Amino acid sequence: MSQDSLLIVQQYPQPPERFEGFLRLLFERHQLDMFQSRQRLLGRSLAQLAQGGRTEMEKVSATLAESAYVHWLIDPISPTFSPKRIYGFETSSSQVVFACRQEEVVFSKGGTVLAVLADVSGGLADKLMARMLAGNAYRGRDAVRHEDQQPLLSMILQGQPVLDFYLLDDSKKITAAVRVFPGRFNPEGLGEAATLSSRKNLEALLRLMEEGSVAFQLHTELGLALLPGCQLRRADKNDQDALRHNLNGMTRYGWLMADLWRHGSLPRKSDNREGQAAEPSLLGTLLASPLLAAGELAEDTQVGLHPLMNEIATATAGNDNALSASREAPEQRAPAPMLPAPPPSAPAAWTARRIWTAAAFGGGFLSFMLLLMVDQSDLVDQIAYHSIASGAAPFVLAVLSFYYGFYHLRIKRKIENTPTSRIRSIAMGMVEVKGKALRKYALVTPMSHMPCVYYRLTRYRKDKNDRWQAVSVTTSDNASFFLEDDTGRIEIHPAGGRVRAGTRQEGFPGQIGLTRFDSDQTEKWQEEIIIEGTLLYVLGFAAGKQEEGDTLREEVQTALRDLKHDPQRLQEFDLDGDGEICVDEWDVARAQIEEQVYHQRMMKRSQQRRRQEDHIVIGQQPGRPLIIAETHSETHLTGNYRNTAAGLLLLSTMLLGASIYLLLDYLN
Amino acid sequence: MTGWITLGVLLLLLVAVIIYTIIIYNGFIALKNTIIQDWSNIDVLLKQRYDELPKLIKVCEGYMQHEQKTLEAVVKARSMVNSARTDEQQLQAQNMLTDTLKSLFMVVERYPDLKADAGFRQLSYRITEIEDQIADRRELYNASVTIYNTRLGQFPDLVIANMFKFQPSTLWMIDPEHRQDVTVSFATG
Repeated sequence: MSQDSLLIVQQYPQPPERFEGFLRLLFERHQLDMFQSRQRLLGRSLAQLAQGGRTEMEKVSATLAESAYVHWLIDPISPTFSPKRIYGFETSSSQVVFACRQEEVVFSKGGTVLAVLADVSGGLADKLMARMLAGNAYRGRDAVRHEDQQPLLSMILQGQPVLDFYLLDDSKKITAAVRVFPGRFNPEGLGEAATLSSRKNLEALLRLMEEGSVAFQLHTELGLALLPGCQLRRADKNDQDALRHNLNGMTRYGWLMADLWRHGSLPRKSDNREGQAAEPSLLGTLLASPLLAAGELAEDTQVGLHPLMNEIATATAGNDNALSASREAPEQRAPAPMLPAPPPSAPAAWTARRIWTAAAFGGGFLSFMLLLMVDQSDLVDQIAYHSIASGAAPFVLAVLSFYYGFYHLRIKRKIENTPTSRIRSIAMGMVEVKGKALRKYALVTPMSHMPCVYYRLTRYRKDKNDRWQAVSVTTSDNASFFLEDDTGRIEIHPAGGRVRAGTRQEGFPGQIGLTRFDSDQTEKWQEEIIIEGTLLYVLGFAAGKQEEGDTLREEVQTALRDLKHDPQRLQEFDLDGDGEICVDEWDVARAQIEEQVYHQRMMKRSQQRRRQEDHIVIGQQPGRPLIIAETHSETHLTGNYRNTAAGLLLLSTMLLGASIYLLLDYLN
Repeated sequence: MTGWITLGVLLLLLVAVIIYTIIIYNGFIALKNTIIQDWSNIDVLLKQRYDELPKLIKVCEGYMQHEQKTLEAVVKARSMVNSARTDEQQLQAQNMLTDTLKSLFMVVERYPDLKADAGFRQLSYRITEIEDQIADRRELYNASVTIYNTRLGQFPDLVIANMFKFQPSTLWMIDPEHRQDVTVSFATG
């Protein structure tokens, strides 16, 4: 891995012009997966686009440079030492001397410093990422605003901050590094700036170092950038493993940032597009010293902490203006509709079939455990031996295979025997529909955060034998979605159905997006996803939805209440003109209001009839199948069922033959 | 020993054949019921259309003083639907009603005030929507019939169908007149 070159890109907050074409170009020239490239190039931070041999990476770099994408091509230096923890420091006019456990680290003022400040609890990174993804999920990428304008620095300081200083030589190589834990060092060296607040002391030290350096950079993107080995795990205070992992990640991040500073971005900042400069990354800009400025700008200007904060405010304000200006462009895009939050996810539905399967396995397991508890291992061995030798076990398996074989066959015929309905004319009862899946709720997958209409998340843990064992299954069964064909749209409620999702993703805890850097894990997850917009086949039971809203009586009462509070309208019913509404007049008013409400209701209903999704839902009915499958054709789907059925029936025949053979052999 | 194994496997195959036969038989019954249901579902929409017509005629009467014939034809076709006794009569009456409605909507083009009437627009939209749904459900009915008839001719379903004397079902056919080419004349008057 250390031999490889890294290609790191500055992400775009929104797809630039001809982005799809560029993705295609990356694929055609360098075989970079379009989906992954899209994910790496879009965002608010830095990301590793590719990794490989220098020659190959130079070619990719040339392609990026052609389209003026800001990127870095580096041969990363593996960290050769970690920052040393400081316990105190002394300052003089020419240097700052940090007191570590067994030695002192001297920083001569006028040197170059790279600082990394991070919340090592991983909480802030999680929070910001979730906020950004939620914004994307609820309103679409275009609607993601720079809502994180609040000073991020103070947000980090409110978490579990740790500050690293890397002292660099003229060629930007790391010569020494120190690590500062707030409240764990003697602040006397700060002089008058020292306070009782550990976080303020940390801030003061940061300022001191900044003021004492000729070139200074502060990086706060740890955990947010998609960089190798720089992910943060969510760590509780007592979770030492996670904390150690995060601190190691922080060290790698510091070394990587020094590499980026040393190499400088390609193309040079001055070559960069103006439009892009006005559209800095959310985190790159927001999170203090932006990496876009890392190579070139910081060398030219000494960026102070206070000026830096001002710069952030200006940059983000400018960015907001730029964004708002772009939104008010002639096309005047309508704001993306906000989808409602999805209902809470549910554990996998316990259908009758699953209950029976679980009961059978549970019973078997309990019997086995009981036998083990009475320590009759001999008996266990004997039961195992006789059940196989007598052919009983193969026979049970044969019966199960036989049952499931016919089950699949029955489903196959059911699919074949049901004609496809058009959504606008769907009738109540068993129906088959095909169309495009659309989200009803702002549903995103829990791990990879992809907008989807359905997900099933399975978590695995390694057992003693180093094999993955499923420990939990969570689904979005409670979240309905829409299916749309040429004629209309209908709601699908997936609870209790057999869902065949076409997309699968695996990852490890702490992973961000689809990027995976660390495979040395004891836990993993797998998501089966139906992505929004995919073509779906649905076979299920169409039924009317329960009507929501007020009853006619309640609507009339509301209308009469409104009338009472509207003297002008009330006057219309004062037929004798005495300024008061008598009983007879009120009866007339009431009758008129009733008729009016009734007509409005009928009008509303006749309009609602056109919207199937408002009053019909396809779901599961007891004893009837609900199949939701991502498939390009019905024949393909039935083919899968046919093959499974044939395999299971063949297996049951073989198992039966084997069980008879074993039985006869056993009897002899 | 081989004999026992063969016997066991043959028994399994026999059970499989019996179960498969049951599945096919049940499939035929389900398909027949689906066809009946699909046909009834068309009737539901025809009834909805029938119920909407008096409102439409009432709205039209106010504007179309000179189109009494057209309106009367619609009313007559509607009453024919009501008085039809056999399936054939019902089909004929429904087709006639569809034709008269088409004529009505064509004539409406001459009455801009009527076209602008909100009530008329809503009713005509509703009836057109029902017409579309009827067309869809007829297609669905035909799809069900086609699946059923195809199954009747396929092996091994064919054997079960013959054994239990399942008969082919009839597709919904349009009026032969509607198959004729439309003649367009550009001659000026």
